[in-house]
Amino acid sequence: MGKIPSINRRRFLTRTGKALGVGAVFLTGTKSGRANAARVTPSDQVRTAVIGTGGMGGRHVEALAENPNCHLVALCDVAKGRYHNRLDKVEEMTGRRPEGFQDFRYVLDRDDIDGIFIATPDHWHPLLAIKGCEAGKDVYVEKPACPTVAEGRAMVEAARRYGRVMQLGTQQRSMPVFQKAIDIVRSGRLGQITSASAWVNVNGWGVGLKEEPVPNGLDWDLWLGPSPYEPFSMGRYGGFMGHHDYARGGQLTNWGVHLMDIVHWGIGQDKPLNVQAIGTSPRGNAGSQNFESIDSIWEYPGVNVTWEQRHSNEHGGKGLGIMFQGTEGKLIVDRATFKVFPDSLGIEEFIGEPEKSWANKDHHNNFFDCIRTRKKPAADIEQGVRSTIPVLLAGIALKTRRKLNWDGEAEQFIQDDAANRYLSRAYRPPWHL
Amino acid sequence: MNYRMLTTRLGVAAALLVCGSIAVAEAPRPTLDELVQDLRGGDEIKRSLARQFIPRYGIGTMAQLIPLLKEENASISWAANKVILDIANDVSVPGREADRATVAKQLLDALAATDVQSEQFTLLRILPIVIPEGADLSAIDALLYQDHTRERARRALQESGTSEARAALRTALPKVDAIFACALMDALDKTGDAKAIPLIANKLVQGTPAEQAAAARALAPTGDPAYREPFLALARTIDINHRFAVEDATLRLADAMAVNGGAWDASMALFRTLLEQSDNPVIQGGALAGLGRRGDASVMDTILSTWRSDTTGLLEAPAMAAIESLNDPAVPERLMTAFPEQSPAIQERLLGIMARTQDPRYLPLFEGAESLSPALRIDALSQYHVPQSIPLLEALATTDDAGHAMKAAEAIRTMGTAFRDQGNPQGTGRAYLALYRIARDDVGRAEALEGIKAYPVAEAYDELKSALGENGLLELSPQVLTGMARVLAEAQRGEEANLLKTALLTRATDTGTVQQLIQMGPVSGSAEDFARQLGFINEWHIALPFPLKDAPTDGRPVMLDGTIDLTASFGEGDKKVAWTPTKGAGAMALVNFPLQDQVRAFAYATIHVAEGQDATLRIGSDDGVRAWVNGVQVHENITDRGTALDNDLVPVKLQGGDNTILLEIIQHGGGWNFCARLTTPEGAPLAFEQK
Repeated sequence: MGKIPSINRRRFLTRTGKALGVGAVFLTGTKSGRANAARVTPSDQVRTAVIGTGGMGGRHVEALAENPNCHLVALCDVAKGRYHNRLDKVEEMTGRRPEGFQDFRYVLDRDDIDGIFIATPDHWHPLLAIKGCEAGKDVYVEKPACPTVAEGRAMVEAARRYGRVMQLGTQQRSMPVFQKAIDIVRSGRLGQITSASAWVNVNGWGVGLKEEPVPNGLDWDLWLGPSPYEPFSMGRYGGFMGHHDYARGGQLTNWGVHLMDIVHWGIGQDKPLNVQAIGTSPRGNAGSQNFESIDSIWEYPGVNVTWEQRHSNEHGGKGLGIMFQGTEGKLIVDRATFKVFPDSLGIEEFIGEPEKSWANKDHHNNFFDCIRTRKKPAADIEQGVRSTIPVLLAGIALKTRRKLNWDGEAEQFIQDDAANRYLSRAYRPPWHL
Repeated sequence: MNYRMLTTRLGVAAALLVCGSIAVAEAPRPTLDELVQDLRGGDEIKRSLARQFIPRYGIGTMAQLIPLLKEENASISWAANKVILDIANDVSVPGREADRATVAKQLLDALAATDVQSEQFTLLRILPIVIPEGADLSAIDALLYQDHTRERARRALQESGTSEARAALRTALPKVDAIFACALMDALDKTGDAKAIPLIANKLVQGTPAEQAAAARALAPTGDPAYREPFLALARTIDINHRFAVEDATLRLADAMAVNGGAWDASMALFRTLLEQSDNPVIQGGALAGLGRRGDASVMDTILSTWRSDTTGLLEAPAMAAIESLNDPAVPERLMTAFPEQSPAIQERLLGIMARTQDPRYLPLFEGAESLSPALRIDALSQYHVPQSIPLLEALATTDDAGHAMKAAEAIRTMGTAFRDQGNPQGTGRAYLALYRIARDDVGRAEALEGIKAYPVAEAYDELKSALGENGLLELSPQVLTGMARVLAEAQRGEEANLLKTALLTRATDTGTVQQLIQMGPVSGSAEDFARQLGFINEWHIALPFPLKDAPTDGRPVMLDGTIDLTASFGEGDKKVAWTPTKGAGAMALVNFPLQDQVRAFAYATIHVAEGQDATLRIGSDDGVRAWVNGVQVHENITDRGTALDNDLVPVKLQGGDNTILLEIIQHGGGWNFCARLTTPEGAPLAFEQK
C-alpha cells in the first residue's frame, strides 16, 4: 500500500452513514491498487464508482464490470437493496465484489477512485457532479445535465475550476451511425440545412400521490436531496420523471437532450434565438406535471428546429429520431440507421451495429481515454449543458405559455423577468451549489 | 307544379336550410361555472378541457379556483393548481402588470388566511412565478419565522427575487439560528442582493464556523479584493470541517476578481497564495486551474514548477488543464523554451497539450520527439491537425506493430475529416494520399482513392496514374483534373499539367473549369491561340463610338440595312466612324475600347463551321449588350456590370458555312470591353474558323 495523502476532507459523516451535513466525524478509506489518486497512466485501469444504480445506473454497472479499461471499485445508491442486488450481479459476472455505500460522500472521500458515474434522478446530477469535482474526481454524468440552466452553468464552472474531465451521457456522439450521418449533413451534400426536427412518443406519467411509508433501506431524505421535502410515495420515487421537482420535462428532458444534441451537432449551432411550445393532454391527466403531447419550435440563425411528441408519431419509418432538411435533400437518423432522400443524391442507407445497451462502451472508453490524456471528451459538459438548455427552455415556454426570446451568451430571457425565474431553483439545506 | 306543392317544397327547403345552419353553428361557449364543475368532476377528459378553457376567462376565475387547492381529491387539487399556474404565467407577461398584481394579492391573501400546511406549501410554490416588484410580502415573511414553514418561505422569497423578497431575507438573517442563517445567506447570494453584503460580511467575522463558510461562499462572487486577506486568514484558522468550503470560496473569489476586471494582479496573487497555503491537493489543483484560466504566459513557470515538484501525482491533471487553458499569444514561445527542462513524463503530457492547440509553431518538437514511444507519438500527433503531422503519422503507420499501424491510420483518417471541416482541401487530399500509401489491402486503397478524387493534390497524380493508367486518369471529372492540373503547375510539373489541360480543353463544359484553365494559362503557344482553343472569337471589326442617346428604339444599329459593309463609314468630320479590324487580347480574347461614357460600340465577326448546328454564344460585356446572328437579333441585356467569363449564355442556330455575329456593346460609364466565345449546347468549345 502506498502513501496515504494528508488530505483534509471537507465533508464528514458519522459511522452510521446518516447525513448530518456539517460537524460529523471524518471517515476515509483507502484501498490497495494504485495506492492514492496518482495520475492515471495509459496502461492503468481507471478506478470507477457508480452513484445511482437504478435502471440506467444498473446498465452502466454491468457494462463497466466487463470493461477491461476500468476497475469497478464501488457502487452507491440511497436504496440499499438496490445496490446490494447490483453488487451480487457484478460478483456473479466477474467474481469480484465492489464495495457498496448508501451515501455518496463515502464514495467521494475515497482516494482510490479516479472517476464517478452519476446515474441518479436528474435533480441530483448537478450537485453530485460538482461535488465530484471538489473531491478531485473526473465525472461521467447522465443526461439531462441539469434541471435548470443556472445549475448547468455551475457544473461547467466546477469542471473548469478544478481542471476535471466531465462527460455527459449523450452517448450518441460516440456511435458510428450518428458520426457518419453528421459527416454527410456537414459535408454540404444535402445543400444548406434550413430545418431540423426531432420526435418521440407522448408522455404518460400520472397525477396524484398517495403518501406511503418509506421502504426499509431507503434514505428518503437523501433521495430528495436539494429538492423540497415531500412525503414518500412510490409515485414520486418510481415515477420521478413525471415530477418537475426531480425531472423538468418528461420526454423533453429524457430523450430530448439526446436528440437535440444531434441536432446541434448537425446544424453546427447550439444557442437558440427563441422558443415556443404548446402542450395538451387530450386524454385527461389535467393535473399532470407534463403534457401528454408537446410541440415546440426553436429558431436558430438560419435554421428552424422542431420537437414533436405526438401519438402515432413516425417519420421515415422511425418512431423516434432526428431529421435534417436541406435545400438538396434530407437525412433521417436514429440509433439504428440513417437514410437520405432523394435517391438521386446517391447516398446509400447506413445500417449500424444494433445497440446492445444504453450504457455505451465506446462512450465509456472515450471518458476513460480522456481521463488518461486530459483532453476534452466527446460530450464535454459545456456542450452537454448547451444540448440540455433548449429542452429546458421549451419546458419554460410550456409553463409561461408564450414565445420567449433567448440571449444565449448571457443565458437569460430577453425582457422577461418572470420567465427568468425559472432558470434557477432554490436548494433545500444543507445542500447548496 | 301547383302553388301548394311549391310552397311545401320551399318550406321543406327552408327547414332544411335552418337545420343545416344550426348544424354548422358554433356550440354555445361553456360558462365558467360549467368549466369549474368539469374541473371538479370525475371525467378526466372534461377536466383536461376545462384546464384549457378556464384561463381564457381571465383573472376573475381565481376566486373559484383558489378554494379547490384544498380539495382532498388530488386529481382536482392538482388540476386547479395547474390552472392557477397557467393564469399566473399568463399575467406575468410584460404589459399585464395590473392583472399580475391582482393575482399575486389574491394568492398572498389566501396564504395569510390559511394555516393548513399543505395549502401554505402549494401557495408558496405558485407565488414566485407571479410576485411583482412592490408586492406586500408580509404573508410570506411571517412564515419565515416558523420552523415548519420557514424553508418553504425562504425558497419562495429566493425564487421570486424581488426587492421586497430580498429585504425580508436580509431582515431575518440576524434573527435566526446558524443553520437557517446559512440558508438565508445562500438565498441572498443567489438573488444577487448587494444590500446584504454588509450583513454577510459580519457573519464572516462573527458567525459560527458554518456561518463563516456560508458567508465566504456568498461573498466570493463580489470579486472584491478586500476579502482576500479575511478569506485566507479564515482558511488558516477555521476548523477542519469547514476549511474546504472556505478555500473553495477563496478560489471563487480569485476567479471573480479576474472576471470582474480591475484586480487581475491581485487575482493571480491570490491563486498563488492559495497554492502555497493550502495542503489540500484539490484546492491546489483549483489554484493551478485558476492561474491557467485567468492568467497569461507569466504564470507558466509557476504551473510547471508546481507540476515538477508534485510527488503525489494529484496535481498533474489540473496543471495540464491550466496550461491548456492559457490564452496568450506568448504561450507557445514560453512553452517551447521550457519544454527541454521538463521531465520525460511531463514532456509526454505537454506534447498532447501542444497538439490540441493546433499551433504549427510546436512542430519542431514533434519532429524531434523520436525518443518517445510510438503510442505516445501517435496519440499526440492524432490531435495535431496540421498538414505536417501526416508524414510523421505515415511513418508510424508503417511499423511492424499492427496495433500502432491501425491507430496511426485512424489518426490520419480523422485528420482528413478535420481538414475538410476546416475548409482545407489540400490537407484532406494529403491525408487521403497517405491513407492510400499505407493501405494494406484493396479495400483500403479504394477508400483512399475516393478521397483523393474528391480532394486532388499534386502528389496524388503519380499515385492515380499508377492505379488507373493514363486513360483512366484522364476520365476523371473535369473538376478533379482541373484541380490536379493546377496543383501540378504550382509544383513546377508543367508537362503533366499540360497533359491534363489538353484533355480538359475538350471536356471543360462549365464556366468554373474554364475559368481555372484560363488562370493556369495556355498549354503551349500564345494566350490568343489558347483563347481560340477555348472557343473565343478573337478577330473582329469594330466601329465606335456612337452616342447612346440617339440609339434607335427598335435596337437596330443606325447603319444596318441588309449586310454589313465593312468599307462603310458613319458620321462626318471628327465624328466620322469606320470599321476597324482588331483582335482580342489574352486568353479571354478581350476587346477593350477607349474609355468614354454614354456611348456604344459595334463588333462584327464572321465564323465558319462545317455543318449547321445548335450552339451557345457566351458573352461577357461591360456594360450591356445586344447580339445578332446572321442578321437576326438573338439577345439583349441592357445593364451595368463588369465583364466576366460567360456573363450571358445565348442559344443560337448556326448554318453550315459562314455565320455573322454582330454585337452592340453599350457603355454607361467606367470600363468598356467585351469577350465572346462559342460552345456546343453542352458547354464544350466549338470548333470553327474565322474569316
